[in-house]
Amino acid sequence: MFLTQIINGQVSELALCEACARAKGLFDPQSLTFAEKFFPEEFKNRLDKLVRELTAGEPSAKAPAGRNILSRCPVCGFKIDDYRRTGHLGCPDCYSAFARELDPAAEAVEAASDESAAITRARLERELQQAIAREDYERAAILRDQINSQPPAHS
Amino acid sequence: MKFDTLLRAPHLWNPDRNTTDGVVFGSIVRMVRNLPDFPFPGWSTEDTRAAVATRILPVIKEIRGFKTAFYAEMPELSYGQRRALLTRKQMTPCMAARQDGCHVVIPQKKNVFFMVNEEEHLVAHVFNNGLEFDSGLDTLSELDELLSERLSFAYSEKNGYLTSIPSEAGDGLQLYCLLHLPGLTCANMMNQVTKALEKLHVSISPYFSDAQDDTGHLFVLFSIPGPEGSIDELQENFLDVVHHLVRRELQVRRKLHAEPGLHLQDAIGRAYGLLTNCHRLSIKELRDAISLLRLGTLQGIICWAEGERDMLVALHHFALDQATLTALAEENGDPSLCIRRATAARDFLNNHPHHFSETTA
Ligand SMILES: [Zn+2]
Ligand SMILES: [Zn+2]
Repeated sequence: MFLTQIINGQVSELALCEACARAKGLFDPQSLTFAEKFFPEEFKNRLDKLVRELTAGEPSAKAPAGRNILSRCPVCGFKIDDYRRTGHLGCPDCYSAFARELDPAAEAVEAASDESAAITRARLERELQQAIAREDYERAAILRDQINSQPPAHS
Repeated sequence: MKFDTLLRAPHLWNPDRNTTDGVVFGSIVRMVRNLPDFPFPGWSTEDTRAAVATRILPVIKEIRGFKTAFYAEMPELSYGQRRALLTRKQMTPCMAARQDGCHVVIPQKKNVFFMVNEEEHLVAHVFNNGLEFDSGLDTLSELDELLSERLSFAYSEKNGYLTSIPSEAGDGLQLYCLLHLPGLTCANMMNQVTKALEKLHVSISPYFSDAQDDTGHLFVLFSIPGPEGSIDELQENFLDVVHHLVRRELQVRRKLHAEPGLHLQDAIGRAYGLLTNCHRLSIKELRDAISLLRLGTLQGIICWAEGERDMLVALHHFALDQATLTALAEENGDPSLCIRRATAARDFLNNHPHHFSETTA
């Protein structure tokens, strides 16, 4: 799809396929001509935003990456970045795919358990250093196993 | 049913029939539902939208009173027809921008209509006169029951009915209220009001949202669904806000009326002079003038032979009819429209005997 729109005398040209347009939060690209005629202000805002995003390139991964969040709904292919950008979801299954993102309470529990895991790991590492310092290698081996069995920490 | 037949149907809005000093003229309850196995309309292709419509439309058709309704897929409707339906609140702005695979179903004699593939797969609006949500909620719960016999909807224990915007998931119900606020508008208080409402999770927008120049005195109030909260809580909060706003509007009207500068009386007299003497009248001028005549009626400044209640309704319908005509005619670029509008206004006043009250100061 190739869009040329003239708004307030300014020509904006956008080269977009339908999939890209939707991924950019421009829902239902078919509605463009109507929106242009009908809601010139709203349409201009939407297009400005779109142009800004396109020129700025892909949004940097602003989400904490390592939290096992699916970045894409396996059923409809909607991306979590698109949700963050538009506030919309792609399909009913997005709710389970992005459950942690959608439920701040779950995220808090998650964050809390992350927090406690990090604290535990720090304590074990400190004990390991102390064990090595006092040359208690038997204790150090146990501590090393415990550390390795911990979930990886997130920074 | 044909589009013209639909527009000939009498208005279902009869403001002031069961409330509140001419401020609230209608209430809308919106219900949204989605089918579980399809992407939401904003993320779907033409094919999936068509598949959704194929599932939903036959079920609607079976509901009593809907077989003979007006059915249209959006590309069949011209811009003017869409604007006319927007004016009558039988379509949403979101829907007006849609095309293939998106359908409206509007029965002639019911206060409810459906949209398929609006923001969600299935959207129903019920409207009622005055401040009245309970009967709308009852109607929707009956419809929900009928629809649920034939369709299953996307639902989860945790989130309730699933919607394309997660913060709206839950009961899948939203509330709107239509208000006439000439006092607050004339007193230049609408910005202030808008800001105050935002804090209360209520948004307000002009009724004629399609017009670029809509200053108007009619507004739509919308209760923004919170993260968690049942429809009962939503309604309670919303009613509080509406009642508060009504009190404020009435207070401002009284204040304007009592002001020694006679600004209100002057504005109403000028509006009347415009309607009775002009030869060209824009739709904005007409709306604003009719709004002021309603205010004059409510404040006892203008007296009508037919009585206040009936005339408030008649004035309101006249303004809506003219707005609808304008929406349809603008498409054809009719150059005589302004002239015909001026004539219609004069005729309206000639057909409804009235006089100005003596006590203006
Ligand atoms: Zn592309
Ligand atoms: Zn999905």
